[in-house]
Amino acid sequence: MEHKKVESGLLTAFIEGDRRASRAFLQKYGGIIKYVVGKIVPKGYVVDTEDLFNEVIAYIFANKKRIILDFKQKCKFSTYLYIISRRYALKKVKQETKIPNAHVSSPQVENLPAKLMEETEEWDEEVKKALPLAIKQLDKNGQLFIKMYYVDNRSMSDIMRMFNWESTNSVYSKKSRILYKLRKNMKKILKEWRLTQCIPT
Amino acid sequence: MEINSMHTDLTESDHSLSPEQIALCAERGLKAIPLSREQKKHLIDHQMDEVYAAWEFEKATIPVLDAETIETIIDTHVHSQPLVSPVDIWVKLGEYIVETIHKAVSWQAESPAFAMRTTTSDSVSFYKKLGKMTIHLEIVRRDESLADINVKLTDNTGNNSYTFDVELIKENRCIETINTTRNNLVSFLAVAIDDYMLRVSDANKEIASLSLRMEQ
Repeated sequence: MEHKKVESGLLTAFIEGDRRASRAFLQKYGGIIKYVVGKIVPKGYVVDTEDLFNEVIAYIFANKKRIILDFKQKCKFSTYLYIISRRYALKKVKQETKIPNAHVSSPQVENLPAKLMEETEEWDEEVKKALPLAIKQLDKNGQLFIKMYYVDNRSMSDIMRMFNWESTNSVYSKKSRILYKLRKNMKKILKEWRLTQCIPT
Repeated sequence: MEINSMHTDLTESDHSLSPEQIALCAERGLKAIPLSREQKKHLIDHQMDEVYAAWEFEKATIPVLDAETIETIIDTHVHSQPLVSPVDIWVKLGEYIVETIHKAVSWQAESPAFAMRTTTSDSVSFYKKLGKMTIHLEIVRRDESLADINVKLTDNTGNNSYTFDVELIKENRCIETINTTRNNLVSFLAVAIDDYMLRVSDANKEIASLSLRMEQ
């Protein structure tokens, strides 16, 4: 609680343009912007990191009031500032490099993950044609699980953290439930296709 | 795009999660934030990268800026005098509440003239003494983009004044004038968020004018 008060005092003084508070702010959080800049410049693209650093700093100072007033103190300020700096830096990098996705973006759920294809290898080929649609029919948590587990290959601990699970057993049981649902959805889709005689080739 | 207008652009688009929501999601998992179906879809399709990046950031060793860089930044971006807000009253209409972002020192919060109303978080009131008169202002939120502006005028003993004019001015043009001879309350209803001037006159003599900013 006391820590939050001190933090809040520092941020308020920073908004008001106090030089000492600004110095303390930069000592505490300035490194985050340096870290962001070092991380997001895509390989193979020449972007002046010093310029990018200065642009992010300028953005933070120009919008400090709004940034800090929008912060409801539910999470750590450092993580919040990191996300804001990263979004702005990414935007600038995209503009500079003129590439639509400057940062390596994760594949979409729509693209069939190879790991899932391997696991469902024994499934009937015809049934697997319905897999993309069956994934879309899962609930959002199921889709998120597929993305994290099969598409992005995240670790067990990451998945447990995201879903607030306490043991790896939850991950395995969720996986089984999802595969069961997928198979069920696919059979249903296939049945509809057969009825309408429009099985995709 | 101007640097000042980009913050809104970075935080509020369609169903995208705000930086704080992403940070919260990364720190405490999905259960920590109630998300709509559309927001979850947006998170899965476009924003999981940010969650992963936040996890990576948590584990990383963050560099410290050297003193010279800090001083250069301060000299460039921090003015020697604190910035003075160009408006007297500045409020933000939130999802459920009205938040005061700034009020000039001459204005007091929580006007006694509006204290009789039920105190709710969807309205804010202010007052300012001007010689023998006191002007009272209340902003009542309708939604995130509309608010009602109520104005009262009292003398210093708290008696209501029943004869006064209030002009609502936007970009130097008067958009509405209300003249009252019987009511002690003047209300501008469903005013859209923007910058305004309010000019209060009594028997054709200007008593006060104030600049008001309402934003989302």
